[in-house]
Amino acid sequence: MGFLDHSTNNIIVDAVLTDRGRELLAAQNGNDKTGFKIEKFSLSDDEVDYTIIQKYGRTVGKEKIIKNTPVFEAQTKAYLAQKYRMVTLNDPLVTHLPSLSVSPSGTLSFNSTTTQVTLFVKTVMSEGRTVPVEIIDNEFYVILPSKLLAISTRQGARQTALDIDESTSLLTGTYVVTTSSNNKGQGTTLAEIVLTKLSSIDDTLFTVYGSGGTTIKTIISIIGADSGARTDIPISITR
Amino acid sequence: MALIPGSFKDLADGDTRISKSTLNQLVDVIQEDISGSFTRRTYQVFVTGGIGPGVTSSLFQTVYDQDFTLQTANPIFDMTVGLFSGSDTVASTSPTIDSAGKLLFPSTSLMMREKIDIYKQFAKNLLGDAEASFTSPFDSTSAVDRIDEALFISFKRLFSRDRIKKETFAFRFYSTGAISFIDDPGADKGTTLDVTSEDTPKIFTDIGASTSTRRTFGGDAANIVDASNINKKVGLVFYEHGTVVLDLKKIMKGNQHVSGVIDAMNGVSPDGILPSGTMVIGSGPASEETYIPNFLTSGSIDDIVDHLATCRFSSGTLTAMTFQNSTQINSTLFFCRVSADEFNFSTNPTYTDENGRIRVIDVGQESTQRSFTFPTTIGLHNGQGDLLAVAKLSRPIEKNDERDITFRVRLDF
Repeated sequence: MGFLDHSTNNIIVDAVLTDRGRELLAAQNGNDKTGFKIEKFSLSDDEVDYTIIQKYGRTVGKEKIIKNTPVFEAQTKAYLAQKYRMVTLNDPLVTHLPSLSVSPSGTLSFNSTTTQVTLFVKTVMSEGRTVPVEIIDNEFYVILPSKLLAISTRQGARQTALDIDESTSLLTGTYVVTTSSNNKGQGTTLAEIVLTKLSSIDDTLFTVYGSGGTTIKTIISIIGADSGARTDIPISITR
Repeated sequence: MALIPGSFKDLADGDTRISKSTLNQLVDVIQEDISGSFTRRTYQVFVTGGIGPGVTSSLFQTVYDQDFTLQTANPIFDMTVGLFSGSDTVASTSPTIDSAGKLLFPSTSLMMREKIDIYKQFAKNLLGDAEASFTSPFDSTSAVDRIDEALFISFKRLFSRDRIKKETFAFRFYSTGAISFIDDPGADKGTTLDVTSEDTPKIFTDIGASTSTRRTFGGDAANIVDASNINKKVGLVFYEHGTVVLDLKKIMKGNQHVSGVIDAMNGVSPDGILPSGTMVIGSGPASEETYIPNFLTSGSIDDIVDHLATCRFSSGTLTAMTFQNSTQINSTLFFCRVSADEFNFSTNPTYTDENGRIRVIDVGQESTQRSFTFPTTIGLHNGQGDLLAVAKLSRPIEKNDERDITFRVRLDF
């Protein structure tokens, strides 16, 4: 994917359809809320590195971001096109945003004996702060390679057909996991996610995606449905 | 529920506009693409039986922009020839009609029914009557303006798009073939069919089309004229159809002597050296065979198209043909209005430090400084939040609590 020519100040921007957009356009159910009818927009800033502001200060940092951040062309895979969205908060004085705390941390390993791992995911604020009320997570989205892993449904997880990407042989499945109301007064919600290694992982998958044909290394992503806080967790699956 | 509800804003009724615009693209076809055997594809769909190895030929040939065996090759146009059933050229072969109404031609001619059928097919699609004839100028009722021997060039939709733009079509063509020893006793005694003329090529164009066009059964049509004499009409161009109909009698010297080897139903070698299945046209010191009618009646469609493509369009690197196409683009403009207090926070992981503190607010300045963001991407969503289209800004734009921005996002169909 190339960079865009930023010598122009044109603010009329051309949009490209995503794979999901093309799919819904082909389905011709444009009047349906779930069909091809554009009703809302969002903004995102995947290319921007905000640490520049901290390093150079607000004035120089802003200029550096504007002038020195080449922007990629549009990505047509819907699940890759907007990783980090802008959000609107009612309180303009917010100085801290929540992040996701995952336990256990680090790489999650699966093998012939360990076929299930339970993750505890929390939306947390530092130093006892409270999560702004409009971004308290009531659900988490879990994006994973659905030919390798699944989420047990007993935690109220449901798989949405929405983001299943059949164009890659690993398939990208998106699950939605409902949180418990644990300590919601502090905005800290908790989800228990049981990841299960699929028994259907065959030799071909290990050969194609594995290292030395024995270990597959991949990642899963967990996103707070309201906060947008995101964490990517490395996974290791050994035969 | 859509992912991150606070990251969406609904488009109001007045935020969507539909508009139409036209895109023109210049198409240039170089001589080598038309003449080259790697860029001109034949199809063996006509096969004779009977005497000798038989004759195989295409009904049309396709010109590509590169070697047509490559996956990246794009077909530019199809080229074929047709004969009007009531023409002198057809009559010169003295056809008879059988009890079923089928034309029967003598064995000295080849593919006559196919040539007539092709003419009828174009007449049916462009004139609305298979029995009708093309004339150039379009309205003429004069017999000399009737196109009896037609060269049909049909541009592929990939290049002609919605239509050919008027007054942009032109092509370079060698009207005079190589001079044979009959026309000039001092000339080379070799063949003329496979030799490119060294004469000056002519330019034929649709100049004047914007002021003189006819709305026909096949869409808008205009005359093609000789650029050096615009009163000389040599054919027609049907803009929406992307088809050019040329009068071979007017764009080439039909009465010129022709000589060369063509395919034929011949069980023996015509001269002891050439393979069987061929014959020599225009041989002998007293030969009177000409391009029109003899070559057009004796040659297969492949033989005729081969000659036109290789000798009449030449084989250099110059432009042989050019035009502009038109594509009507329906655009939807979305006015994505972001007010001052919206989208001033980001979920970008670099937006906060390890303690969740927003980096763009200086320590100790929390009461005076407000957060800001730098959007680079605009996503368009349906009601349930599916990302249907993506637009990118050419550079990050600052969004803060003192600034509202309207992004105009255009989605073309």
